Amino acid sequence: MVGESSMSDVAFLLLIFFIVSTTFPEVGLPMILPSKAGDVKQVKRDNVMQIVTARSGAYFIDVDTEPTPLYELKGIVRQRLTDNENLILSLETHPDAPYGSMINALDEVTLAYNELAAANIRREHRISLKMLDIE
Amino acid sequence: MELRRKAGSGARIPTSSMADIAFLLIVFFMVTTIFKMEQGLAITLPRSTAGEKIPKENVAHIWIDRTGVISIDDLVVSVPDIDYMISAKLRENRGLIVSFNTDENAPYRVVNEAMERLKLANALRVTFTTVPVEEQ
Repeated sequence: MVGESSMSDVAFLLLIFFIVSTTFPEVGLPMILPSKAGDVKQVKRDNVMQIVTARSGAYFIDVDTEPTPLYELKGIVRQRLTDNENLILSLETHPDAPYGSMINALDEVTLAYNELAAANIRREHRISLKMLDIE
Repeated sequence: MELRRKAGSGARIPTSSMADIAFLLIVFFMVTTIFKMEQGLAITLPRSTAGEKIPKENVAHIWIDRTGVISIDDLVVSVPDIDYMISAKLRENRGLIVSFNTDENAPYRVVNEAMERLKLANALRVTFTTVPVEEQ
C-alpha cells in the first residue's frame, strides 16, 4: 500500500518548487552606445532635435522656454520625423534629473519610432497587395 | 506426520515503500538545489510601454539604487571599477548585453558615468530594464 495521505503534500511541494524557480522575462529599452573617441560625426544643426530633461524632470524641446508635457512628446517626435527623415534625436539630461524621467522620454521616442516604422511597413504592404491584384 | 520441507520460501522485497524512497530522493535534491541568483539592490524600476524582451543569456546586470549605489554581481562597486569588471565579462562573452537595473529616482549622473565606463570597456550593447505597462 502506498500512503496516499501524503500525496497532497508532495503535490504542494512540487507547486512551491515551480513557483520559486519560475522567473518572468525581463523587459527593457535596448540601446547601442556610440563607441569611444574618434567616432565624432558632424551633423547639420537642422537635423537635430534636442529633448532636454531638466533637473526637475520637465522636458524642453530645442530652445523652448516652456516645458512640453510628456504625453505631447510622442506626437511632436512623430511629426518631426515625418517632416525630416534624417532627423537625429538628442536626449540631453541634467545630471541631477531623476533617471525615470529620462527613461520616460526615451520610451516616448522609441514608441514614436516604432509607430512610424509600423505605418511604413503597412504602407509598403498595401502597395505589394495592389501589385498582386494587377497580376 | 508431515516431515517434508516446504519447497523454497520465496524471498520477497517489499515494493510498496519504493515510492516513498523515490519521493524522499526528489525532496532531498529539491531542498539541496541552490539557485544561482543575483540579489541585486532594492529598486523601483521605471515603467515603459515600448520595452522589449531581454534575452536571458549574455546579460550582465548593473544595479543602481536611488542613492546612486552601484552593484555588480552583488558587489558594491565604485564607478572606476565598472569598466574593469565589465571588460572581464566581455572577454568571456563577446555578445554581452549590459542591463541597467536602475531606480527611477536615481540621479541620471550615475547612469551617465556608468555608460561612459562601458564605452571605455567597449561594451556597447546596453538595455534599460523597465516594468512593462499596457498602453491605454
